[in-house]
Amino acid sequence: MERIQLNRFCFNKVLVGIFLIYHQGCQADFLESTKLIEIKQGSELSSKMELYRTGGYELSTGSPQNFKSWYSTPFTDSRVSFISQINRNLGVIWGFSTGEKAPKYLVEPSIKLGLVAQYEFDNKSFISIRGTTVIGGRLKESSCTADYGDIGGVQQVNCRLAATTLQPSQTLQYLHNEKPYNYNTLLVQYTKRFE
Amino acid sequence: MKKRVPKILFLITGTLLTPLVFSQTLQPWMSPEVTDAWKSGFKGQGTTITVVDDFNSKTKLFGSFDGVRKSQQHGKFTSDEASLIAPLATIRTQDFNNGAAVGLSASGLNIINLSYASYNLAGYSINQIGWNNREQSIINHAMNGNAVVAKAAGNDYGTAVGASNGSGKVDYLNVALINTKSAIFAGALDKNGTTTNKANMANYSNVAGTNTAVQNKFLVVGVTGGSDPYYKLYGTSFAAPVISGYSAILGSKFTTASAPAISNQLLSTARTDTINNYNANIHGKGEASITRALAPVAIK
Repeated sequence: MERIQLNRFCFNKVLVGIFLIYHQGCQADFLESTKLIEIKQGSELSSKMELYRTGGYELSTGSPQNFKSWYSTPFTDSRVSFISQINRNLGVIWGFSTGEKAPKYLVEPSIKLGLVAQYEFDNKSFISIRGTTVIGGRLKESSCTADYGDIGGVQQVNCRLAATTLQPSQTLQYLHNEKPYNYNTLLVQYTKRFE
Repeated sequence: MKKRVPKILFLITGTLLTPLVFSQTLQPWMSPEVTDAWKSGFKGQGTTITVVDDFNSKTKLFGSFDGVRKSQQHGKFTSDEASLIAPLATIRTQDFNNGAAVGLSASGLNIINLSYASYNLAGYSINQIGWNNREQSIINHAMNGNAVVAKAAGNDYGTAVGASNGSGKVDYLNVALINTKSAIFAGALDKNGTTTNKANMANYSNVAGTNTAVQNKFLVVGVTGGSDPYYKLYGTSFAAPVISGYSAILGSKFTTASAPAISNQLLSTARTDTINNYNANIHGKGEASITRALAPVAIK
């Protein structure tokens, strides 16, 4: 009886060992088949908000109100993307971005996922189809609290538009709230190598 | 027995300046601040400017506000000017021949533009003046804070508002409006001032004087000649419509603000750093600034 139990114990250990050996092999294969395809600091949404840093206006007292303190961030949205080959004609694209945060806006972190498939017509030409989607990465701008004194009281307002002729409540519709520029992409590419 | 006061227009002497045009473009005579105010699209909508002036007489002035020379009555130029500052304000006109009380719009800010004077010999008390229904209603509207009343300060070459001029006459309409809730006296600068290119008082313009009640109601704006060397804008007649237009722009942003709040905003945000040798006895509260009047006191 002890021999049977011992055999079962050994058999289970062998199974775990086989699994570990196989898993480590998969990891190695995965790493070997994964390539870095993109590393970038900055994004379209980040660049959009960067433009506001040089803006500003005068308050009713004449004191300057600069936008720099509202729209500056110590860390710029950065992203990396990889492609991992599954087989000769299929690959997975994956990656992530860090997002960025300033006092008056947030670019959310994001994950990128996608697939790329290719078909070879011959040894000189092939077609590839690549589709990606970004999850997260939304730009959200925050409002300000403005004190207009006796003429308008305290109101929520778009920070950038507080001194315009727009009614304070009307400025809120211009707060940025948008998805990444390229949150869904589809690329079809035909390649032919010349002699 | 009450004394009737005749009305005298602040007639444009010399030729008028920059042509009037009904387009939303910055005219040479406008302060650059107006463009900033326009960019967001709110240009006086929901407000009403009533211009009391000459619209029907045979006396026409020849001038140009927008490059197109026109020959028209004084009131058409002043109403056109106010409309150019606040293109979306409703403009009502009331001719001098109409002595009826000035009615106000039931909704939105009301502004009354007065580019004229009511002179009589000095020495009367304001209670001795017999106003017609129109002037009495205007005075009442200012007293009660029902409308912003933009009053041209006068063209008596440095005479203080409320004082007698060189001919021994007093603009009693000025006097009647001094201690009201929502009247503003509009004097003229020789140009739109900036901190690097400061303006001077136009030599013809009346001044605030030593009466602090007047000083606290007195603003100046640039009244400039256009690019045409032969036609010049002249007179505090064309300072008052700027104040009227500014009031309309403010009223379209702060839709619940009262006329006294609107007038106080323009007065409290006036600039003194754009005027050479600023002096409250001359320039009152200073040069009207629509950009500062639109801005918050504080923001976070």
